[in-house]
Amino acid sequence: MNDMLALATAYLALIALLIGHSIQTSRRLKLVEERLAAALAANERRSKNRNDGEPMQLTTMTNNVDFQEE
Amino acid sequence: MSGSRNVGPALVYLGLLGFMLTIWMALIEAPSMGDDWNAPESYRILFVHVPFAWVSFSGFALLFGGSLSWYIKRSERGWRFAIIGAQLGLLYSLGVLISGPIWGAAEWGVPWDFQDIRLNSFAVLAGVALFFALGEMNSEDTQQKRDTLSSVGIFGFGLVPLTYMATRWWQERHPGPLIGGGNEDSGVDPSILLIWMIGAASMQILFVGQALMTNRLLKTEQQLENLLSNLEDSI
Repeated sequence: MNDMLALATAYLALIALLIGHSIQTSRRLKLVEERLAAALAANERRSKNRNDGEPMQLTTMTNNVDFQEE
Repeated sequence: MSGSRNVGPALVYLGLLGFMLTIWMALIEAPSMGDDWNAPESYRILFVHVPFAWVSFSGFALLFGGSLSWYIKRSERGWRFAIIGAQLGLLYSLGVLISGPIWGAAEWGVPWDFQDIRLNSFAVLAGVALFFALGEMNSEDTQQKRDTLSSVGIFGFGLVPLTYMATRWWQERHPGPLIGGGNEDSGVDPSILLIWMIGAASMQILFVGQALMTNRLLKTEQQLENLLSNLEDSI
């Protein structure tokens, strides 16, 4: 394999690998956080509609979100 | 709170900047090699190949520790660490497995040697991380699955000392140890060592940033899953 071609190919591949992984992780994170925010908003609207006199329902449900965390 | 959320991306930016600095130093500052090398320019690949390999072991260590923590304590955090270790171990070992054969093709004339224990044990180690990462992503999250993958993570770690010692015990094609090798061929030019150290530090910072971001991603996914599950139950 040509000396300079090998050097350029390896460097470009590694730069693409690291930058690509970072971009993909941050995109996935943004998407999941948007979905979580939308789900929380939907949950809130639903609770308001169903439980006019019981505002504790929402609090209980959102607290359950972290039930598996230490 | 928003400060701690920004630590991961900040470390990623810092690590990527250090990585680009390493490449610049490897191209501009590193000494030229004489005609005794078949590919005197391609040797500059090793300035990133070696730090990639070092940092991949941080991923395998995280995979091992996380798997052990899940297996012994049923720790959710441990399980997340195992996933992060597998994903990042795979990422960095992929970097090693891309850059190594390209350099080998230029310097040795062949990209791979199936007789070389170091090359092959490292490839199997990357295969362990790949198996874990794919198994975790593509099947339902059950305790049995976690136990199976954890045992793979625990026993797969046995390849780490084998890979580390391979060039000391059975050196075939892969170069022998240059740092801490303990023989007359050990030792490396201080300017080369400096670039390696900058590369290793940069990639370790990048690794920590990526680990923090992936941890946040996994926690957010779990929160979303729990919330959706609660919503379904309440309908």
